[in-house]
Amino acid sequence: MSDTINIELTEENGVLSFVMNAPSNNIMSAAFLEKFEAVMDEVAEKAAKGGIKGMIIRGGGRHFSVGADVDALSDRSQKESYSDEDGILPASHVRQKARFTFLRDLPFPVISVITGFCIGSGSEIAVNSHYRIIEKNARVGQPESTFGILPALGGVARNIEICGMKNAYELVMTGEMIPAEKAYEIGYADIFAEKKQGVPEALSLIEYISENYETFSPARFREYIAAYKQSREA
Amino acid sequence: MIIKTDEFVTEVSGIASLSELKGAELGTPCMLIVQGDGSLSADKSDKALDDFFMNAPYITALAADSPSEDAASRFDMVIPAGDTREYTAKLFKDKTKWQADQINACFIAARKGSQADILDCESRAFYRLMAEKNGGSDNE
Repeated sequence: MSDTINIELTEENGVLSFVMNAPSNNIMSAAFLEKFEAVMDEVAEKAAKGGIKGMIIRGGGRHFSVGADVDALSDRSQKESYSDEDGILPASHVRQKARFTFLRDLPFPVISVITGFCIGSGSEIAVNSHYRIIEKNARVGQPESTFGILPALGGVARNIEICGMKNAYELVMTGEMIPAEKAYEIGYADIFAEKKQGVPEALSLIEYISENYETFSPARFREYIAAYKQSREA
Repeated sequence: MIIKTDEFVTEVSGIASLSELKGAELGTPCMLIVQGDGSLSADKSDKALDDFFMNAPYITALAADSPSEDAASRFDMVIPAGDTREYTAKLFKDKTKWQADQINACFIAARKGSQADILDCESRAFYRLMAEKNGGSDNE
């Protein structure tokens, strides 16, 4: 595989597709994150222009993302300055975190389709999305604490919000990987899909929301998915 | 009341009411576990008890299989009754108390804080933990 960071944003029929096809199963190297931030800026511009029905985030290969390169993260953070005395977080971190957490505020549904490994900062992209569709055989986890750190790009806050206190605490504190079935059971994933069915399911969800609601209000994200799931059962 | 304490966990058993916790010597663990069942009472109008749980500087867990709603709602989480050693060993494996406390701070913030507060807390905890990982000083 080439070392090119191939992260692609395309638009078709009002649906943005954000496909990650970077080396080593989308490991989040410094180059990956730089490209990621640039593409998120592009997403923000498109959102401001309007006319977008939804966005799908997925891995281009077998895996969603194996998360950050911890050694690179450690090297980078050594160059950054933070002290509790002044309480000012490094600007680079603030900027990067905003590119993750803003997904939740976008005026259209953002859906992560999870395949293979979805780990660490990869999982943080997923939990910052409004919805997660997980395919059979996928595995998710927040193993940061096993490296002596913690997820800091929304991983704690969003996991608490979507999985509840107990499940989020266990995910973050143990750092254990969990299979797709368990991720669905604890509320991490909104929809469990068979292999290769994640993207069609995401398109179906986007169409449902677009057809049934005049606007997408991020604060009402739970209401939309509940109605969609109910419509599928009817 | 029986209180067992180690570096990470304080476990309380043999109480009939949660109010008994208010004056108890519980130490400064990462997690307080109270063993209780459906008969464990919790006075709904006990404001001091609400404050105790809201401001507890550790994660609170009720170990019970069929707890009353009044009791369960006070705790951060409910876990299965019985021996909790395996559960807590898995949670705190390979961590120092200080590391676990840094992570705990974000979950404690979630009790009464907004999403913005938790997001802020996780960033600060990250830099403290990373500084420790990088040699024990802050990142300056």
